[in-house]
Amino acid sequence: MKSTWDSEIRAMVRKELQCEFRNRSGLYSGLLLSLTTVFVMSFAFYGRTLTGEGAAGMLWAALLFAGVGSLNRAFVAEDENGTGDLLRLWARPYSVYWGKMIFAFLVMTVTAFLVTLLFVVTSSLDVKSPLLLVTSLVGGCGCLAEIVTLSSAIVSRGNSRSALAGVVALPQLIPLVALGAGATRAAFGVGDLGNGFFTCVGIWAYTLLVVSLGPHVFAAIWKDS
Amino acid sequence: MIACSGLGKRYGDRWLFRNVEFQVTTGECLVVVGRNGSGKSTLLKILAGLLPPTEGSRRVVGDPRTSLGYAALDQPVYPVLTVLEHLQLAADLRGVECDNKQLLEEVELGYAASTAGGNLSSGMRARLKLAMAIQCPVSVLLLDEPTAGLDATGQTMFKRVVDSRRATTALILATNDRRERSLATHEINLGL
Repeated sequence: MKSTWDSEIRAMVRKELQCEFRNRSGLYSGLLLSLTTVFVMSFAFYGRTLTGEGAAGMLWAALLFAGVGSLNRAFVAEDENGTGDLLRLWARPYSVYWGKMIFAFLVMTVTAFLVTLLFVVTSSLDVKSPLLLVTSLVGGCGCLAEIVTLSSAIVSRGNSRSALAGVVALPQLIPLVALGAGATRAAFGVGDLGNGFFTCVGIWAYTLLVVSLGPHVFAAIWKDS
Repeated sequence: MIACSGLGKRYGDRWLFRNVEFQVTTGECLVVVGRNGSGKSTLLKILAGLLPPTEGSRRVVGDPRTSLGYAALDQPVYPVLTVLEHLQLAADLRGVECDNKQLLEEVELGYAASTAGGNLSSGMRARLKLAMAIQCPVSVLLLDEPTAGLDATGQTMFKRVVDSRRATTALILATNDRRERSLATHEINLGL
């Protein structure tokens, strides 16, 4: 059998799913943190009308919590457990990167949709453009997954990994949050919808940029570590 | 074939070893000996590509993923993946097809195929790591204290597995065990 990229990446994603669903602590803690954020905000604004601006900011804060909570899951835990060496022995760097990235994207997307659904229901927000909201969230989750995967790989062999991962991820997250909040605000009916879609294109462009650079940076890190 | 030239590893100000040079070809067995902390495991990790050397270089003929097998005493396995899932993952990532069940029979671990890595004893883990190392027809086998944790039947199994691959494999062992040292065609002593 000749090794193919898709079979290697599928094997990595399957391994990530098996490990995550059998050892649920990481998945649950990320989801719990995001849902708690939504509930806290709902209680804080109980009886008041939440503005579109406030809602967009809060929604992205909840998504960031889920993303930063995943930092440990990608590579830090793998290197702390010593199992990263098994992947170094068997796999090509790009397979490892894409496998981890796709898994992070799946987890992040499911979390984002659960959080958004709960957020919209509990805050009685009127979504003016579901299409804009969904495309912004999917693009944002792709970007978030890439940033989390790469940041986790960069710090996985250093000391004080968790704190360092946040510092490494922050500069990459700022443009995403700014664009994401802008597009989501428009989806909630604040400002011009056309500008919202234009901002959404910005999210996808930024996502494409980080996703196209990420694998090459990762390959260099993986080889040198 | 595996070769290294001018290999050295330093941690802080302390050199573990310097100027290590050798070439091991098919049918040969190099045994690396030395006191605890002399760098035997580190040397094997560098040869496997898991650690960068401070100086020097190593060369393996072929794609290291399929031409190099590595098993070490301190190598953890995934606690939630079963024995068979480990072998399937390794095969998929390496892009090789093999009869994993037969492989498990060869290392006498067939009865634990569906046992999770976290529930394996140290001897069972050693057998699993050996199975992962010999999964494809590797040309270089790097084994770090391979029989530590194995009982008498395990040691017999190890000898049988190694003997059946001697003709087609370059073998490097890091050990101080007298029985394993008897396999050597060459020996390097890292610790004085």
